[in-house]
Amino acid sequence: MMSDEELVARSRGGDLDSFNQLVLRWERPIYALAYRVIGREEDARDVTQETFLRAFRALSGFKGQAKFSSWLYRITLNLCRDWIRRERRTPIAQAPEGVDLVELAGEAVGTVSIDELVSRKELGRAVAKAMALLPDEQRTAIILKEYHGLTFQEIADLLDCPLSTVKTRLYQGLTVLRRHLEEADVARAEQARARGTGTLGSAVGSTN
Amino acid sequence: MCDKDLLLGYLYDELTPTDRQAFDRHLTACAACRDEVVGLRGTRTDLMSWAPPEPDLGFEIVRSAKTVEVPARWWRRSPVWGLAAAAMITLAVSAAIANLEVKVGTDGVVVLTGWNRGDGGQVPAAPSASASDVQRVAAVEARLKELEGQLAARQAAVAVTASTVTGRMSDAEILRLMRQTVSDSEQRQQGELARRILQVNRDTESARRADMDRLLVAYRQLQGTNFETSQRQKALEEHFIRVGMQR
Repeated sequence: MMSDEELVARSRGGDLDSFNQLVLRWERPIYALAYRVIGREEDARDVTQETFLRAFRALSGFKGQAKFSSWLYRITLNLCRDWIRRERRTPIAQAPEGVDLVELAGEAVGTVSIDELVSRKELGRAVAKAMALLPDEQRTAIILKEYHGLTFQEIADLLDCPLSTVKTRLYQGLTVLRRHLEEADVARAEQARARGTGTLGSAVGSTN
Repeated sequence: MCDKDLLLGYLYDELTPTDRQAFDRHLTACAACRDEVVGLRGTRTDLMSWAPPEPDLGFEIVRSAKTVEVPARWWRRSPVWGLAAAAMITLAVSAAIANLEVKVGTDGVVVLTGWNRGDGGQVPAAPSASASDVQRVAAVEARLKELEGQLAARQAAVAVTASTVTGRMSDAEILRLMRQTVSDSEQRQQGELARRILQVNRDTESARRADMDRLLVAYRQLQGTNFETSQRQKALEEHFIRVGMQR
């Protein structure tokens, strides 16, 4: 398999197929980044599409001074920042309360039980809500670190800020998330007790 | 005050071996940092459960128009069996709603859909009327009156029971009980629906696989047929050429 650098070199030479291989390779991570930053499915798709269009148009200006993925991330984050300014609203979709078992069943694949799906979905929603409460800078740093595995230095380069700032944002963000998630965990346990059914899943029973 | 930079580097495994060993030693002595490392590791594990929805991507840069080809919406690209499954689910949900039944009994309120009913909501066939049935009608009317009498007696008994129960329970308690019963019933219904949708999904998937196998077999047969046809055509062409040359 060709490296990103090789594909970029070929793309700059006019090989469209090579660029489309880069698109195929990076569209999911770019979409995931956009979705987690702005929280809206359709808009995240638009940002992803626009990222690759801009990258294609600006390819001649990309001299390989950074990794291709970092360059794409930078374009994406700029587009997300523009989107947030334009929309003038808090990013991250508001997760609805509760869990829709019917919706979950529609998404289920393989032999995953309803119990597991409910548990995973509830925690995922709690994380989305907790992330929405963070300031943009902290949220972006955590997304780049946790979901894209960038090093502290890579994040600092990408966000054009000192290493110490990145560490502060990560530490503060994680600490706030920890508190919110622990509170959400307690609230979920209390709700389950109030229902008197232990967990929602136990009322449903295992499907396997 | 402990060094949070070191703690963060330790958490994300971005310390030099020397710093890591030093922080390991620090952790054996500092309960607060130990607790923080454990807590933040738990938070990091929780973060992994937040997954973006499955995207409908498939972008491609095309040269001629200098535009991005936007993929068709999922329902345009969905195979026939996918649409059939969606239609089945919609029908099933509609049927369940249409067959919704609320029963109020001495044991509380029970909400039922058609799935939970033993009789399946069957409608009895209308009897055909004839002049010879007049006597039977009279007999039925008499039986009906008798039943009405029995019903009135039972209603009186139920009224007595209800007044006894309400005498012991406040309105708020009854309301709470009713809400609880309705809520439990809704949960049971939702669970039942979820289980059935899972089953439909699995059935659809196995049907899809079977269809794919059949298609593959048919395609291979078609390929074989095409090969044979082209071979025959080639032989025929050669024959004509030979005949032409002889002439």
